[in-house]
Amino acid sequence: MNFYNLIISSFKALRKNKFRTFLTMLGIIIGVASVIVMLSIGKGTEKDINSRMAGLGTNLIMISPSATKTQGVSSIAGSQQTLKIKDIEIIKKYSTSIKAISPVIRATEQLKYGANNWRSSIMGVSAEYLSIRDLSLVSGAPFSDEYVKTSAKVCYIGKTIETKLFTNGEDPIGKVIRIGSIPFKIIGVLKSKGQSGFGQDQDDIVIAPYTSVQNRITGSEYLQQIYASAKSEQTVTSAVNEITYCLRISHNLSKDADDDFEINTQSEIMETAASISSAITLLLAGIAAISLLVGGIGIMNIMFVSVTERTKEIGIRLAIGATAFDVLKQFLIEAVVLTITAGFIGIIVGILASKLVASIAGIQTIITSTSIIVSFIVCSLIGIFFGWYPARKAARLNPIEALRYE
Amino acid sequence: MIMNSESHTKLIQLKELWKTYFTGDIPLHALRGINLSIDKGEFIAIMGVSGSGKSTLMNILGCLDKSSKGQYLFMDIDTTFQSNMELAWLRRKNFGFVFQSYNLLSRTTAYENVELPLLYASKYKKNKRKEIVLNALDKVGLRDKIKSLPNQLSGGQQQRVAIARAIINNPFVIFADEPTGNLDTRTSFEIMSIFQKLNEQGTTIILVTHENDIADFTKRKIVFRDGKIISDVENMNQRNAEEEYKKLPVEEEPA
Repeated sequence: MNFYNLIISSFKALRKNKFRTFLTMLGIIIGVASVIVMLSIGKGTEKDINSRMAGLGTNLIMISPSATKTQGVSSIAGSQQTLKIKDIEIIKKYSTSIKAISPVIRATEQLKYGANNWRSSIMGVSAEYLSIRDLSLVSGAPFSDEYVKTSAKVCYIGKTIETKLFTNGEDPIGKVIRIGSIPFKIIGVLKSKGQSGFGQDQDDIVIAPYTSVQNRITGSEYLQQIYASAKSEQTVTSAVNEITYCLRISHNLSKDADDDFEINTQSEIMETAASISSAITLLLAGIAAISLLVGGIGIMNIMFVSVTERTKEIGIRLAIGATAFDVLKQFLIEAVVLTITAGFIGIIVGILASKLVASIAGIQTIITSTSIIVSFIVCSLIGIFFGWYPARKAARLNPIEALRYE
Repeated sequence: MIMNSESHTKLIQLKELWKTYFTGDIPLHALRGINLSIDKGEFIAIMGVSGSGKSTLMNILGCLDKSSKGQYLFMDIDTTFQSNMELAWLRRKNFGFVFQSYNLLSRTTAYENVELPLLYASKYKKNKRKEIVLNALDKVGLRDKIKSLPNQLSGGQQQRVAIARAIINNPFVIFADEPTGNLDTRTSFEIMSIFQKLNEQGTTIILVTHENDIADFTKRKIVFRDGKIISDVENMNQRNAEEEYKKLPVEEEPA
């Protein structure tokens, strides 16, 4: 019997037991659909994380002091105080791959305006910081170097601060808030950036000239971090090398001394995030694959029942000229037709379900052609794998005993 | 399976054929040293009581089963050492089977049932197959029932579909295992007249029955008892099934 006729006769055989065929397929349908949904959620999350990461700024380079070592025990990164404004001046002077650079000084203070107060972090930065982090203003004027020179008591606030302090809907521009006990005039409101890739509220922030924060709040000459941006994606590596070179000179490190600072780039962070999200995708797909396996075992079970039930039919086929191989092919193809049909329905259900997840749960889902092709191939393999044993049982039946079977 | 044999080659030759079943402690000898030869074009009735070995012999002749000892030559081919695959090929090219319980595939139309052996044995395209199937159904007078399912047909009609299926590949031999066992006299005669026509056209027919009336339509009667042939005689006055059928009183249709 040729392949086409085998497929036709498989469909006929499966149609004879519509409800049972449907129930058998259900296992595979659910399995395939969940693989597709899980992969689409995984992919969606990955893309989401990536776009949030890109929101950090373009070609961002972060320089932090390295961890202190007390008697060989490393402390938390950034616990050493090695970075100074002098470092920035040296980098600016010698580095050619850098577009912008800014110190970062952090402090946590109570903010007060009228009867409202809110605890938040204050960042002391230079005028270039906004361009490094891709920040823009909803209202107000951009930072000028003049403010830095004069340690001006001016600041920008994020959207969260605005809603916490200006509860009656006032325009915050020009208003004076107290940071700790020092009055600062608000000169701009930052455009909302939402949560960072790590779940931080990026709008819960006050930005002020670093000189103001240094002189009026922290009183320390050390910097927590230095942020820089490279001129382009291609110059990130050379920028990192230049910065390393400058800082080692600036910090008077001898040839074999370790760096007393650490440099992280955005691409490194993105790689980490990507590996986390692919691990999540793998986990989700693994769970879905188990349900597919269970579905496959269901197929094997039903194929066994079918072989027993159709013993007489097998006997008739053997008597009228089928070889054992013909019978094997017939049952194998029936199993494959069953799983591929189920897989096809599963793919459609999976696509619809992931659209549904996206619209109900508000999670981004992305269906890749790879996940569809892979589920299709896996379905055929499941059909062959789980159909093989029942089919072999059918092919090994003795024609006379099969004919006598009632 | 085309043979370069001379016309007097025996179709079937059995030499000291034994079939022994080892089911319990005592071996059961279903056939005890059968010697038999059958020519092309014969019409044979194999008779005997239940357990006499006639069905076992049929299964071995039809290559559905293998003998325990002895030789079975089909057209000078020794089937004893053939593989299951070779036996399946032998069956599909040379044999047709008709059973007492018809053995049609349920929920499969008459047309599809008849077509099935063609799908296994030939590579004909759909149109060519249709021509052959319709021709076979014509021979048994059921062309108008091609779309009917077995449970929509009477016993006689089902058996005629089974005969159409058996002749679809133009077999040399038709094995019929009590083909009229489930049928009334009228229908039995109808079936026997189909067999007689097929035999006239050259098909060898080997038929198992325990009814003497049915055996009377054949040309040779072989009687079995306890796994041995106890008589093997030519039927000198073969009855004509079609004539007998016409002689039967026509049944009144219930109003």
